[in-house]
Amino acid sequence: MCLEKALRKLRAFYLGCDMRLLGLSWTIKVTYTMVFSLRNSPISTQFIIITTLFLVGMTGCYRESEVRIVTPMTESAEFVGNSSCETCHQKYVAEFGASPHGQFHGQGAAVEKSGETGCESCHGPGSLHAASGGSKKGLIVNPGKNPEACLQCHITQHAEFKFPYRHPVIEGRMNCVDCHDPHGQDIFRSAGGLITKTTKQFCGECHPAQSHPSIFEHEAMTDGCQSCHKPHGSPNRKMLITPGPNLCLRCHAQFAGPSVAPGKLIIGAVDHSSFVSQGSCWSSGCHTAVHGSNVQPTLLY
Amino acid sequence: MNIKLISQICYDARLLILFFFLSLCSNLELAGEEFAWDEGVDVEAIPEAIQRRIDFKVDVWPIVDKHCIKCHGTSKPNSGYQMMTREQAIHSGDYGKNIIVGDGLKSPLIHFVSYAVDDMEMPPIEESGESKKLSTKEISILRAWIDQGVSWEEITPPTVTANVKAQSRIWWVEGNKNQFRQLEGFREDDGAGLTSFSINHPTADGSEWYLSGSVWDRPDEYRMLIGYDNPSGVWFESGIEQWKSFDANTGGYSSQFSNPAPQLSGILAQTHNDFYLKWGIRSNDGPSLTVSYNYTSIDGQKSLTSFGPAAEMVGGQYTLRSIRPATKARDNEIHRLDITLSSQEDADVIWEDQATVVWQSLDEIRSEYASFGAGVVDPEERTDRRDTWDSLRGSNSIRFVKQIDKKMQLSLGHSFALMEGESVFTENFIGLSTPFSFQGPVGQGIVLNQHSQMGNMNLSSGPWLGGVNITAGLQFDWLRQDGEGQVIPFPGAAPQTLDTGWDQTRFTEYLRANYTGLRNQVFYAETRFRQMSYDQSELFDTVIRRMTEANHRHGQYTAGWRIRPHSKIGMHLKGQFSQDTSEFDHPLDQKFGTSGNGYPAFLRDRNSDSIELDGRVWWRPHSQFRIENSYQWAKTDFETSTDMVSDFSGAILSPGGFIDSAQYETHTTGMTMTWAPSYRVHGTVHGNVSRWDMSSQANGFAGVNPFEGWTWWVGTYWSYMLNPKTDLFISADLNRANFSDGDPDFAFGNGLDYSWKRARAGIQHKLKSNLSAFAEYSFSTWDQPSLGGFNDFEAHGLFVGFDWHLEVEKKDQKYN
Repeated sequence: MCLEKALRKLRAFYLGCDMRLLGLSWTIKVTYTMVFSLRNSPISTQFIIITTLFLVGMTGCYRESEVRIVTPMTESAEFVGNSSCETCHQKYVAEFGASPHGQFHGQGAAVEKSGETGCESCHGPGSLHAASGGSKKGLIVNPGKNPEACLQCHITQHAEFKFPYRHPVIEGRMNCVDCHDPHGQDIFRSAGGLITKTTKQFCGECHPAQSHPSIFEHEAMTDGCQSCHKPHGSPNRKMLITPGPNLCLRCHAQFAGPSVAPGKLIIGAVDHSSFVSQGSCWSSGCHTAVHGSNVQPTLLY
Repeated sequence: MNIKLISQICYDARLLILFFFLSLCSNLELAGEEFAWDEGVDVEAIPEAIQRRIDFKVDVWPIVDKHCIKCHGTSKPNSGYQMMTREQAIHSGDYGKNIIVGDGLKSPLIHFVSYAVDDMEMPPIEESGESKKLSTKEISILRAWIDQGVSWEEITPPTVTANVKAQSRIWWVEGNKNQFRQLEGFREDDGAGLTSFSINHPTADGSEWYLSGSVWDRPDEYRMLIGYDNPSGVWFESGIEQWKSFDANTGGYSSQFSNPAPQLSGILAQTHNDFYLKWGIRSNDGPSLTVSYNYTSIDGQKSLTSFGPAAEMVGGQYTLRSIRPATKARDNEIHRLDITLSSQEDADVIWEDQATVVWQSLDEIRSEYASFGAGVVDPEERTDRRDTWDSLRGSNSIRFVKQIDKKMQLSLGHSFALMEGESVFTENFIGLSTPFSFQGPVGQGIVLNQHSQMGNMNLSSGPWLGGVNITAGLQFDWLRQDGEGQVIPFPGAAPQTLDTGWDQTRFTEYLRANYTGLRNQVFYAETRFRQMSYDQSELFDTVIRRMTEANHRHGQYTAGWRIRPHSKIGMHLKGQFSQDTSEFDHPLDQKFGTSGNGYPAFLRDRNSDSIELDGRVWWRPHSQFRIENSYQWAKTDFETSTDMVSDFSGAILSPGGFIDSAQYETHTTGMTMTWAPSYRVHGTVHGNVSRWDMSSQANGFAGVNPFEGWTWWVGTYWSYMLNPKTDLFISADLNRANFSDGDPDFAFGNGLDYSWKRARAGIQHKLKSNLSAFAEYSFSTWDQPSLGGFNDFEAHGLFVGFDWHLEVEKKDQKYN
């Protein structure tokens, strides 16, 4: 009885699939017959065989037109190739070859059509968008609003956005294009593309308190914010590369002279031995003005 | 009938079809010749066809809709000519065929709209003599459309759509709620609201009104956006948003300390406000103008990485640890006005000019809380350091892009900026357990001026030699900064004057080449160089006087190879080496009241070499399964050289010279997999493991330990279609970090050990075709032994809601 009930459910499940698209009716008939012949086998054998066939059968339930495996995708849309996009978006197509993404731009219609490279790699298949006359209403993927398209390739950055201290990209407060120019050579924005602003200038648009000029500058700021911060995310507070004094000691190091007692840490002309054991250079109440100070040359406050 | 006979019949039939086809073609040709298309037609008045692919809905229909449909729509078309279907557009009308498919030049439609035939001008000239003639570009598009075969798509009436997603949530949080708020980004309060709503109202002329947003039952969380989008005309958009960010308040405590973790009372939260208004004009032929105003403010308190001191007993002695949470109170406002004038996107020459004015008003108070008795729970003293900054910055950037020929594009850019800022600094010490207060240094009259210029040129060309593409760029920028002000070291002291300057020149060069000539492969290489020099002067009355001349060089070399040997597998390898070299010379280096050397002017050189290797492989055996693995190794060596340093007595504290100062190394392995074992099931799995090593020459000194450890992340998401109306989903995230702290007796607690686990499970059921209901359970827990458990929490959330979608077909006379 148990077997017969299971078989009926199994058959109902299979028949629940869209048979016209599956083309598995013959396979199911065979499977059904095979399983039915096992009705007198031990219950454990029945269970193993039914489960195996169930899983195999499920794997066979592909419906190519509906399974969306590679994001980004738009439901029911198809790839149309870069040339269709160029009709309206000449600017982006023209500049794209010069962008870092352009280096992955293969050639040939087959590659373009597959959506592996070019516009539809990030924006998803564009047939519905093009047919609608450029409508944005869910007919095309906009990585500027949803980072999913970017994170499908930038998997390291995806992991960094999962750290406790991160820019709120996954949360939807900001997006990749807020900082990066994916198409190429926008000189107004920071990017890995052609030459643009320094990262300090760019980060400063949202973090003015850390980036405005100071009477006494910290020269490290000329290297950019990423000298000390991991811009996507970090396990450390304030997205720092490291939370300890090693961060500063990368540059602020010197040989100890013969008059320095063992165990003493001299930086400049000052014995820092007791200070560093209180915490990091900026966290122990000393060099709190790490981004620059208007009143104190050694950035104490 | 034998086979020979059948084959003969087939052969004859093919000949017959071929003959018929050729006859048809010749008849068409004759018909073309017989049509006296140029009689009375002013051919000179007809513009050339635009040289690009034409899309009916994007290019043609807006023109037809704007100029033609009023008279040639469905109801009572003038001259019997209708333009609602392709058939009508070609064949209808009292004067015969208006479109010769494939030949715009010979099509009467083009003659009429070009005003090339007298008394047949379309749209007609008004009695007043006013002309509503199509623009040259519009006629060029129509001509190209006919040349390219008169593509047509069904015209549907505009549809008004509305979406509403409502949600009610309940949270149960046990443990440190501040940490919960910081990590999850919202308060644990129960609540209800509309997580999203939108209304789109398109009109027949292609424009659209839209409204969207979200609103909660708390007044401090909302978002609203309203706009009017018009492809060719005036448009605007305005948005307003308010949200909160939260910070934990545990400070820099470590479980190795004997004190309990000091915590501040109350919630550390900042309120973020954003308002913008954008207004613009787009035109079909001329430039577009955009004017935008943006207001941003941040108000509230956050926690800092700088901590106040607390005492603990180590080996029978009081030892200070900087572990008390420090906070920053902020009241910041930024106003920004942008005016952008640009050419159209599809123009041959792209240009853009953007003028920007930014006004910043920042008022920040850093507060450090301190206690000096071992085990004291409440802070005894607070130090407030207040910094204000008011600045006005104006800039203008212009950009020009020219497609020189099919293989070459040139872009030029220039921007300049002027800024003036003012700042005030005060420091106050305030007793908390015993009332007292005294003032520290005051900075007043501080004025900073900055002037910068930048020029930029980029060239991209290719493909050459069957697949070589080259891009090159050059940028020059210059910056001049002057600062002045006064510092009063303590109340009643004489002011000390500040006078500083920064003069910087920088060149950046860039060259990239890629080769795509081999099938499914891309080779690329790029170099980037930067030379920067700056002269810095810091004249601080009788405190320090120094001048520094710095030269900095940066070189970066990258090469990579991407191959897809088969449609189901791909690989990418990349290597990068970069080198930074800085040299500092100090013509003036005076410090008063010290031995005369040491900071800030004694670094002589600062160098670093970085190498990074990156590899990734992806495999997609079929469209339902894809897996990608990546590995990255990065290493940087740091080197520093200094002058000799001695103390007052002349004893040498450092002989100077080069020292290998630090090393930073990371190994990162990542994996992402997507699998749809059936049309009902879809899942993704992500994983990432990193090893971090940061060590410096100072490791081994008390309190300075290598920062070494691991981070892990595993995330997975699965959905299952139970039936056509019901979907189930489940997701899980595990974050873990474990960094050792090798010197527990003396070191500050820089070790890190936490795990953050999150899971969600839910169901969504379609009640009607446009209405769905959903329910979700969410779980989040934080466990941090390195903080003695003071930040730990466990949270459970329950969400229920519905998702509603409405479409209303809009009545439009033109379509009925």
